[in-house]
Amino acid sequence: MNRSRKSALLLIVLAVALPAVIVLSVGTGPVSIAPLDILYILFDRLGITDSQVSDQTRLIVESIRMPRTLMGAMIGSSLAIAGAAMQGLFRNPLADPSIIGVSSGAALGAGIGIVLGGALFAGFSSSLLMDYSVSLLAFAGGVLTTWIVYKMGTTNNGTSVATMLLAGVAISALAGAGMGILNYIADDATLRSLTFWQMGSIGGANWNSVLLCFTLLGPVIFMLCRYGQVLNAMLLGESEARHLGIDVQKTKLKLILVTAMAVGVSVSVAGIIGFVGLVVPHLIRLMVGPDHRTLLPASAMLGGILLLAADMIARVAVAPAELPIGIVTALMGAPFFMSLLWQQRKRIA
Amino acid sequence: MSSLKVQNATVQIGEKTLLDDVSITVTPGEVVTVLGPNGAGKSTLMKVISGERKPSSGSVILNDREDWRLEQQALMLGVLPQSSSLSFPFTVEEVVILGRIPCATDRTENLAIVEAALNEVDGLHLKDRQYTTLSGGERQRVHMARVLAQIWNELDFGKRYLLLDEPTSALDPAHQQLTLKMARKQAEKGVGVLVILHDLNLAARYSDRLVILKEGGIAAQGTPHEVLTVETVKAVFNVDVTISEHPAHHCPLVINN
Repeated sequence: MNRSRKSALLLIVLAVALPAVIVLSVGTGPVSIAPLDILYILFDRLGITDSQVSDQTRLIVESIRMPRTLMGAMIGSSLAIAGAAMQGLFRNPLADPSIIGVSSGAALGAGIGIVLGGALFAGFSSSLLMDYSVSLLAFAGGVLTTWIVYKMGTTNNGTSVATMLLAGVAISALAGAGMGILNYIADDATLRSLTFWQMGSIGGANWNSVLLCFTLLGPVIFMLCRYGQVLNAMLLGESEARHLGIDVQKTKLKLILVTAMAVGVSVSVAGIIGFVGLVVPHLIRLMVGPDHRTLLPASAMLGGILLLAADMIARVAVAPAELPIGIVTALMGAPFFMSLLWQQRKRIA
Repeated sequence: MSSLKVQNATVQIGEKTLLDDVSITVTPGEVVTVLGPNGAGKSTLMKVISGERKPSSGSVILNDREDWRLEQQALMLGVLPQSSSLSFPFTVEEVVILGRIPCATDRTENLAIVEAALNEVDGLHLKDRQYTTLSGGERQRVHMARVLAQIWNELDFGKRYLLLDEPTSALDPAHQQLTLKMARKQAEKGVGVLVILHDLNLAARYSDRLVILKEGGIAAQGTPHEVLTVETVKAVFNVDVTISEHPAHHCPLVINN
């Protein structure tokens, strides 16, 4: 089977699998809920059916599982597609927002927002306005770090892996120090939310955060999906892309802004969830090759699927307690990253 | 008349002059070769023509205009850089079809053009290979096919040009000949070809005109017979040669003493 057939098939399979995993995720937890009941609850809301599902089940689905699942899917999609786009921009398959320090930069931005915001508008600490300002600060932190890493590491021959990773180490260290200061000055309540958030979790999801994700991440995913052919050209090199009629400077700026938005918003609502942007595009490339016209939408869908799977593991592994999802993705992703480094060790040295 | 014209181009970076008042013209249907020692400004000239580097003064006029949109320029001007870095596992076909990005043709037609372009560079057998597993010379030919595919179609708004920066550097002798024959064939189809070479004999054999650069300026310009003299070669390249005539092709034949 040639690659374009395979690509079409993969997109169809993922488009079917994503809703299925969403239903599965809503049904999984201390109280398990049958898929049919979930659909009934949904249809009842839409006024299509009038079923006998208990109010308790309804409550669990509507105020806990549903927002959590939808937010998880959006974040997984955004992180994966941002990873894919970043790897194209950097011309380097190891560029991942969490590895090159973009997530740390965004986390510092969000941390500043949480601590200062908590002090500034005490009492409004969970308002939608506050959520949006924290996201914007995370976005600013993300833009700044992406830009720095890009400037430091990229020549016309692509990005030097070593420089890129070291820049990531430096930025993460700096951002870590900043977070340390924030932890130090935060009051007890803020400190507690700061700590949980830093480990990465989508357990705090509510309809406000879902709204935030859909309004900010939805457009980002949509925009990135349209950059397929441009990113393909960028893989040849910046001058080559220019010779193919692409305004490279403008494209780079847009991509840096849009990927930083994806990472920034994800980090602001769910903390640092690493490696999704590394693992997912890599799996897709193994299946259908590096063509971004497939890679971007397929990464978005598989990213959602993978994050929900990780979240289900996080929920059931130590039930009735739960693991922060950032720990689950790191446990799966870090060995994966090491194996990639192992494969590429000759090229890097 | 349509042409690719560089007018009094000067490129200065700080104190250094990379290109010093260079003027050259490539008309459709001819092969013009730029020669010169390392650091003479050949690649800088290419970058100025392709628009990658703005000259400090002077201008580049493509088919009577300076202000083409990037997408239009991409249809008229194919550029083969000295080396390309591509570390993602595309197939050869996928790499060559990237050349069709600026073109508004459908996929079926593009695939046919990709095959034809690969055939021109003796690369059809590589079509389904993975690019990252190819040798240096094979990669160079694949990129050549990509650039050919890019300017494949004749246009109603302007003539087409090919800029080739050392297209033979990684090739074996047979493929060096093949590549320059391909350049000649493009010229016969009405494409203006500007190529950078290091091999004086290849240049003499396949070019209509030669431009010799030295320290950023033009040292000599004209037909191979006019330009390739013992004195010029000594002055520019600092090698002692004997110039004879090629027994079969009647072009100058440069022999190292």
